[in-house]
Amino acid sequence: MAQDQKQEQIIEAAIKRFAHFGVGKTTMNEIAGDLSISKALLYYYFPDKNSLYAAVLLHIFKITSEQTNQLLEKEQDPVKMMHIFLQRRTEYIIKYYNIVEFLKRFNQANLPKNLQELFSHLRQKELNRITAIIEKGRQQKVFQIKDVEKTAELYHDFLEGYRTSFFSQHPSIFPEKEQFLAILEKEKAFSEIFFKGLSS
Amino acid sequence: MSLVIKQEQILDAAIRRLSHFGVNKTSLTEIAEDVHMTKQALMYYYHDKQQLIASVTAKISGEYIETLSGLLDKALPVKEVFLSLIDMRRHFFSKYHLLFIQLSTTDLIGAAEIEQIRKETKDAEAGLLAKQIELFIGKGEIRPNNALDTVTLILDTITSLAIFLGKQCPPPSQAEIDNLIQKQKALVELLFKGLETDKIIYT
Repeated sequence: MAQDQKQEQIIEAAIKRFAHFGVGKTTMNEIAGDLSISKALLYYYFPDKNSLYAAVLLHIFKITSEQTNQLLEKEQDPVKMMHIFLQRRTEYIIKYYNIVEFLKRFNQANLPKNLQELFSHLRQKELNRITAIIEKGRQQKVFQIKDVEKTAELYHDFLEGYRTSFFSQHPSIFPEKEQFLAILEKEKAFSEIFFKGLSS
Repeated sequence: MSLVIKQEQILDAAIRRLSHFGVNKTSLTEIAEDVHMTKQALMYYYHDKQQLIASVTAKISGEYIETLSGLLDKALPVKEVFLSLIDMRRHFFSKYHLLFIQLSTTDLIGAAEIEQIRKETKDAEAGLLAKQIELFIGKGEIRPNNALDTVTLILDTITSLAIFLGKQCPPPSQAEIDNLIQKQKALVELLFKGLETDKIIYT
């Protein structure tokens, strides 16, 4: 079997386990067992759980952003595009919550290098998307802005900061769907004000 | 707060965790955190994991037998009883998931107390169903046979089809479950073709 294919199979098996049991409770042994491959072979593809985890995150990000792209292509209004983007983002977090949640155990100091690189990559991608939407608004002359990138960064910083503060205020083991939806509502409300401020 | 209420809270939290993560991947510390207790405080109510799991087993077993009794009270045709039993098991499966799989198929952690409850539940289930079969044998709709043996055979075959649920990474897809239920029901249909006399009339 082609190497890529095997790798993909492992990632998919891992997603299944991670999504149900969470990353912390999943062992490499179990994933190997699901695929009936030896642990040694699994470690050949992914030398440790963190590298498998990074591959899983990247994989999820790729599928989800492809799907989001398809939706965004159909929309012209930049404010609505941003809402679609926020909506999809929430949906994916809910869907893959048990996977994303694993990140809680890391902080700036102990984040493995491969995850650090992945995050700056993903952040950049997300920022690019926001920038593209705002740029579109500028071209359509819906938004009056000089520095698209700075505006996008400001907007992106808010999203990150807001989520972080929400979860430190509402700690819970299994955050309910409603919590994420509550965040989404706030994000949309913020978005509206933010973009109103940009409009002429 | 009264002891009983606190115990109920712990049981509910335990069931929630065990249903999702299964016995091996659930720790007392996590359950304690869910009910805002320390592990030490929790251990005042339940001295160890086995004791807690035994209580959980008793609670779910009780619910299972109660639901089954309710089903039998409906006085359905005998084949329908078994078809409904399959639906009922599906309901318990989706409600308790991993816990239900582990309670019905694996040896769990081999504690005598849990083993005892499981055995009692299995016997109670078979006993209740055997009574139904006997009722229909009396009416002449089912061929005379040893009712308990027949019921055990039917239950074992139904269960054996579901064994794969415990072996693969949960959760199974909706399609897999639908497929399983379909097979189980087809099997019951087949078995009853052999068990029923010509006397039975379906309206």
